[in-house]
Amino acid sequence: MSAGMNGRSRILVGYALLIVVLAAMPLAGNYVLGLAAEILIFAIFAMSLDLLIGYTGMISFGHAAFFGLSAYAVVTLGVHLGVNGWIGMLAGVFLSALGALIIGFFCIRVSGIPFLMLTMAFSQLLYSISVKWRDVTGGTDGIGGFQRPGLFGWSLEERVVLYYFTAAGFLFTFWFLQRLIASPLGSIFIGIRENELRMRTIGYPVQRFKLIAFVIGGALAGLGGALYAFFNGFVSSDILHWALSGDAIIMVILGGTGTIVGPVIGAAVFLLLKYFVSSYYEYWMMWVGIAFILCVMFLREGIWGALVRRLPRWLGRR
Amino acid sequence: MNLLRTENLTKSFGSLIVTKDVNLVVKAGERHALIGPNGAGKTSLVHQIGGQLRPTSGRIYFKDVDITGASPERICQLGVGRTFQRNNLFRGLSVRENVRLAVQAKRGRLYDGLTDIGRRSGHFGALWARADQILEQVRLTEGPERPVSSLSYGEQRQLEIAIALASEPQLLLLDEPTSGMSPLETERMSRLIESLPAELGLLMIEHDMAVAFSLAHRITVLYYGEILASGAPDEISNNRKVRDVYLGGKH
Repeated sequence: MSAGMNGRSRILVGYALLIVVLAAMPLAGNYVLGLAAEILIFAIFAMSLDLLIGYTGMISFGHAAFFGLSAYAVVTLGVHLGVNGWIGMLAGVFLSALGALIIGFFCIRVSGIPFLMLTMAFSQLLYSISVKWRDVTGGTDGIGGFQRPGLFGWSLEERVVLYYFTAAGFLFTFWFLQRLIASPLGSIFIGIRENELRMRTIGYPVQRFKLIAFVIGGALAGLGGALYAFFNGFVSSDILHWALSGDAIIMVILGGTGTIVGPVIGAAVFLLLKYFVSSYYEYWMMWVGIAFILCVMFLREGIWGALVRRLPRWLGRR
Repeated sequence: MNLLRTENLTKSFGSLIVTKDVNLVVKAGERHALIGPNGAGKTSLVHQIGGQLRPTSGRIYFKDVDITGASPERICQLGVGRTFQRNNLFRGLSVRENVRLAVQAKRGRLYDGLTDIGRRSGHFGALWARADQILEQVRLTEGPERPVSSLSYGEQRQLEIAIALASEPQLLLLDEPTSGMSPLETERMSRLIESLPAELGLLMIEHDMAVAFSLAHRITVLYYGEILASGAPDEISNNRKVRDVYLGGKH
């Protein structure tokens, strides 16, 4: 854009634009607001996966485990034990982080396809528990009737309040990941992605850092899952199914791996295709599939990656 | 002081023995060249010392600490740095970031949290300055913001050494630092190796005999995994067995 702007002010302008758009969303009506909230929640989920896929080079096919663990914690604690949603949310994020610690402990021992299969196996294990443990989870029918908590006299039962809270969770995750990636810890993750062997040879205990990335990614997915529980007031075993992990991978690759912004765009494109195409045409997944194939074949760096590379040429050098 | 000592080090893959009863000593400040025909087991030996390969039997001591079978990161943290025969860099990152990342491994602090590494003041400034200092040491000062993939082959070899130096090793293992280089680049690399700190112990695999004999205080000849001879350069060049099997008698 304008040539004189330095990096810092460009980032501030970016955040300001983002906040204005998010803040103005309620003007667009209830339908759009609900869709926006869902996009923001899945954007959190996809961004947390991008930390693993795009920055640390770990392709997890079981990320739904941490999204689902937290959503289940919020709803089951609330419905069965009457636990306040805020405490449920804390418990959910904690449980996701703990789950990521335990599952990650085993999974990081391998990489590549074995890692992918192992993460999927663990999440499918949780899925089958959610299907079988009907008393608590409600199985495939799910469990509903969750009472959303209040905040400073506002109730999250109000759509707009719920939306703003979701937007705040999104902004936090977005900001946190941007900072993390630019930090010393983030540079270690990127180093592992670039050359794991060399990282070990210069003295980094790579296994430990992979586990740290896995736990951070899991905890953030847990934040998304808790928000999803708030959003729906309901949870069923679908949330732990490998198909959801696959959706998240598609969102990340569609938008652009290793960019943070990309997965947000990927989540938006994915859900917009899902809702708009599905209202005209039953087989919406086919269109997502076509978009995905085109993206992998012609836009290797994803939608955002391609924009970043081409925008300066379109805007700057006329 | 003995920096490195191996004791009857042996490595076999099934019936193939790549290292056989190797007893090797490298002292502080010593320039020790490892030579031998292709397949003599030079790289396998260096892999075992660096922790990339687990020995079948025997022991490896670094300053009397047993490092046999330890992980590469532990061996590095103890003070053994290494380079690789084929360039092994962070190809997507800039030259300066390659070195900074290695400096951070040695001098970074855990509690820096979410601070931006781009900062050029305070502790992070010191890391960047150290990275620049090392780049100067290996004479790679041009275009530090270039991505590694745009460097020439010779420059990448220099960066290999820069990354290894960043972990502040007391013993540096160089696996064919001049491999694939033009005569001019080889000459520059020899001068670079010569200029390394005098107290640093150096164990280098070298195929270029001129380089090996001019730089080394001590030369060990490996032949089918065994030490054929070990001694000062003139002892090696006068050694009958070595001349017969390796130097070809015409040296």
